[in-house]
Amino acid sequence: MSIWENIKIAVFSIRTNMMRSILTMLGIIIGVASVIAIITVGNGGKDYIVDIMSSMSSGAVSIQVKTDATAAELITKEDIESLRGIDSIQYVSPMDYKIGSAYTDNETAICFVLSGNEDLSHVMNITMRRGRFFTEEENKNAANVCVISELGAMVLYNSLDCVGEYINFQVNGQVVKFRIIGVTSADLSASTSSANSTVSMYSEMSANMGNTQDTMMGGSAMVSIVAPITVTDNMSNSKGYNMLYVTAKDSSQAKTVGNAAKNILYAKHGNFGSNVYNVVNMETYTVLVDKIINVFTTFVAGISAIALLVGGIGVMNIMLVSVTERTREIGIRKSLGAKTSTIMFQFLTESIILCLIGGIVGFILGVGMAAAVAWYAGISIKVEVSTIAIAVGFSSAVGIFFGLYPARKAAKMLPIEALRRD
Amino acid sequence: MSLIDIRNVYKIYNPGENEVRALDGVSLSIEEGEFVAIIGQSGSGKSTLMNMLGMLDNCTSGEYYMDGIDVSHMTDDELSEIRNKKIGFIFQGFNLISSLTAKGNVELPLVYRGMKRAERDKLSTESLKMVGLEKRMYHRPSQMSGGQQQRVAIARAIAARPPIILADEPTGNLDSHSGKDVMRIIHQLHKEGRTIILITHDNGIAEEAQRVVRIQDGKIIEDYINENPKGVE
Repeated sequence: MSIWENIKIAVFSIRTNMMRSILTMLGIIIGVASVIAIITVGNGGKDYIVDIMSSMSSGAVSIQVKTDATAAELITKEDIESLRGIDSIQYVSPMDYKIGSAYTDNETAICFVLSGNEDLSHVMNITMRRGRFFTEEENKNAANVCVISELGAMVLYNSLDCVGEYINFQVNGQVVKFRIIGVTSADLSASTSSANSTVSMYSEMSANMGNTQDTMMGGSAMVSIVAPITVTDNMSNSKGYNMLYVTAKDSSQAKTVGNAAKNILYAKHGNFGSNVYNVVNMETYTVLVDKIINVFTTFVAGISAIALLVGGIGVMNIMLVSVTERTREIGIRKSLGAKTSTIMFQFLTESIILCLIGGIVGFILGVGMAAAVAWYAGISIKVEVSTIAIAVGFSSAVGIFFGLYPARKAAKMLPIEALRRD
Repeated sequence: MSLIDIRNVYKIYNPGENEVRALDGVSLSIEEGEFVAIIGQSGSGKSTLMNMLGMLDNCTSGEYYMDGIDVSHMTDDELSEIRNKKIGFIFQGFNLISSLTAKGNVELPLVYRGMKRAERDKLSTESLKMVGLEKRMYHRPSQMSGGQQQRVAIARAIAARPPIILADEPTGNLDSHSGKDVMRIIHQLHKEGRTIILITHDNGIAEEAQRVVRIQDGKIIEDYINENPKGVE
């Protein structure tokens, strides 16, 4: 019997048993659709997390001074200048921050001031939505200018068009009046938190919140701004900085450049062996990100496995039923001269066709479901070939196996036994 | 050499204390062109004998030669091939495949023989004409009466032109009128030279055969030539 003949018989059988065929396909459709939807949405979510994590980094390396360092070991302006003179370094900026309260004529909020030199926009990947970043000149002259975060602008002015407005920043009784020169889309507090001192920063923040509570009327809204480091220097008359950022001209050399910068610091402060300077680069965080993503991936894979199993069991059940109820038909065919292989081939063809149709419909449905979820959750998805292969492959394998297994059993029966079944 | 020759065939269910000897040492030979009725009451073993003769069931012990060839040790697939070439079955319950049309059912043995479409078309149409159903070729079994369904089954049995027709109570599920139609066709097939083996519990129908084999408790108790076979009115 030719393959074409077989396909025709199979298609005919599928069409004449429409209800049974639809039920069989339904098992496959649900299996394939749920697996594709879950894996696709899961991977979309994973990519979303990876994107957020990597957008936090500008490829910069930070050098942090241990908290038990002496005042003489802190990073000085001169250190920054000498690092600037090094060829392989592209940008270098010290970093400091102050936490206090901000008020305008109408609003009050907790305020986080991040400060550095004009290179800070490069090492921290600060992109501007309005206005500009401060210049070298402004930093040198300790100009009271600042760049405000998008979120902050919305909190204080309910608009991004606030360039030219003034913010009063108050901490420990001092007040500085900043003129806003730009609005950035970066979430500054999040960027800074990648610089290890998150814990100390937030503890300081909560301490200062206590101090500033009396001046706060607007609750716990938080505003972050970026200002020249010379301004914050004047507020605290500090001897030096706890942290600096450098970027390498060749980004693949980030770690080497970081270590070189560290050694220059030791050389300048004459404190080799004290281990007060730590180089922290993205690699340190990639380990963390990897851990998060691995948990996420395992989670997605686990749920997909359950979906595959459920789909597989659905396919298995309907296949077992559909073949078992045709045992008598198999008996008739055998009494008329069908060989075991002929019967097997007939059921195999039927199973493959059902699985193919079910797989295609399931694929369309699954992508549709994934797109709907992605649209709702605001993430972007891409359907991978491997996902389709796994979903369709597994469901088909289950469908074909559980179609063939009972068919084989029935085909191997004595014809009279099969004929006696109802 | 007989067309069918079975020797000392036993079929024992539940061997041991409660064993049932459905066939208890049956030997029978049938020549080409004979019209044999195997008659017995229900439980006598006649259906078991028919299944054995049709190679639908295997025996506990004994030998079976068809055209001198030992078929009792053949594989499943070899038996399928012999059934396809040598035997046309007519069952009491018709055993048509309900999803196929009359023509589709009749074509099945031809499909399994590997025949080309055109040839299948010709043979199945001829067979359906022979049983008077050329106008019902594209009807499903559910759209036909019992008598018509049995005639489709007969058309299917003869489509591949097998030399032997094995009919198991072919009129058992039919009213007397349709039963007569079916018997008329069976006589016609015999006249055309086929060997007919008819299983029945009905003495009246057995009397239409040339040879009557009576079976009881799994044993042949009578085997005689019917000198004056009764015709169908």
